[in-house]
Amino acid sequence: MVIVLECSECGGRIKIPDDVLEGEIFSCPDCGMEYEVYINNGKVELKHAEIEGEDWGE
Amino acid sequence: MHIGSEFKAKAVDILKNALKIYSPSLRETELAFFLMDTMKKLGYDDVYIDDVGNVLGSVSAGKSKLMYVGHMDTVPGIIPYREEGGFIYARGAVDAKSALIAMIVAGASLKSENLNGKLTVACTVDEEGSSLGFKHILRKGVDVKYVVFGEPGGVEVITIAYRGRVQLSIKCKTRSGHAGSPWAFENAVENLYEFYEFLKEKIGESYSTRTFSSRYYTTSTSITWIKGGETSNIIPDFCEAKLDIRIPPHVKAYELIEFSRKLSKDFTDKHLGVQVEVEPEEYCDAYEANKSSMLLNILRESIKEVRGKHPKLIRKTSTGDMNLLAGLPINAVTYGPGDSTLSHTDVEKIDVEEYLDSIEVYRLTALKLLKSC
Repeated sequence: MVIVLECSECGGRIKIPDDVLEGEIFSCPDCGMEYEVYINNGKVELKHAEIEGEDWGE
Repeated sequence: MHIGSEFKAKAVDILKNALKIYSPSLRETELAFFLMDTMKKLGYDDVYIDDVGNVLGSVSAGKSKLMYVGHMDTVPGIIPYREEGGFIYARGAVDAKSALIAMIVAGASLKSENLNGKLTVACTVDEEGSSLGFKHILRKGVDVKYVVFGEPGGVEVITIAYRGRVQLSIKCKTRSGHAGSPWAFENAVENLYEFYEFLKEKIGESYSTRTFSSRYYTTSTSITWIKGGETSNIIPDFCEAKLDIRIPPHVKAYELIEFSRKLSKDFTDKHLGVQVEVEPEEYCDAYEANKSSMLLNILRESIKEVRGKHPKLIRKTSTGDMNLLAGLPINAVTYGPGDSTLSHTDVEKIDVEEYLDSIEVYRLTALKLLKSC
């Protein structure tokens, strides 16, 4: 199942799995803005991620 | 119960000594002997160096449940060791000796605990190369439920996924001729590049479905090496290139390889006088951690306890040793101190306080996991 939230920057649709955990990072497919998931009274919400969510690593 | 100041001082000392030993891939022997000696002095059981140079040791008895895996090797290139402003600068400070030593020290701190299972710490070789070390451990058999890989991401970050990877070799053969009449001959370099663009376009069309909103869930194709031609006045009759393709969980490596092979046959059939062959050189599927696993939840809680807040959970667009566990009944995550954007750069540095906090996290995670199972 997918939860769809709106990007606060461009209005893009951000698709998130319904078993999402607090702290997971997702990005807007349209503008690339990175978001971190937090749970507010049982509801999944997004805040701007403070760090780059994905990096090149190895 | 936290680690005392005397133990912390020893932990920093061990890290400093490990960082002063230059250990590029497949030249880890000096570091391996240092770590074997260190682990024995710290009280590890059954410490040994295996057939390919990995160092392994265990804490506690009983059924083997948890493995901490860190790598001894670094990318080549010495960075002069120095300490400044609470940071240590050295090759491997970030990628990934700080995580490795933190795991070793954390394991040692559990010697006096009454655990319900065994922790094994593996110090591997060649992670930066072809993962010879961990592949050897897998071939010998890994009989644990949980694995934590020590790689930088930050003390408040857990890496829960890596994309898979397919490395393809493409070879193109044609017939050479005089560069003064290029219209009469097929150019192997130009044809190879035409095939690469064709392949990349087809991969994009066929494997571009985005399940969720993250670059992790996309497929990306890059040409990373190319060589062709003999001299400046002869049309090339041979060209070879390497492609690096990163894949999300819904794309399987073997399917992509067969898809690429078929396209090379189609291209060859349609281009008279041109032969294109595709062969895989390395491949692995994506790995995504089980989000309901006890390991991930205990690690999250341990970070919250040490740092006061829940960690970020990131999916890396790159590939790591954790990928080698794809499809196996083992729950794994990757965690370690250090800013991963400094990996492989000449400004690698580790925050000593972050290193010390990561020891606490590794310690708490192992303690809770091995007492609860």
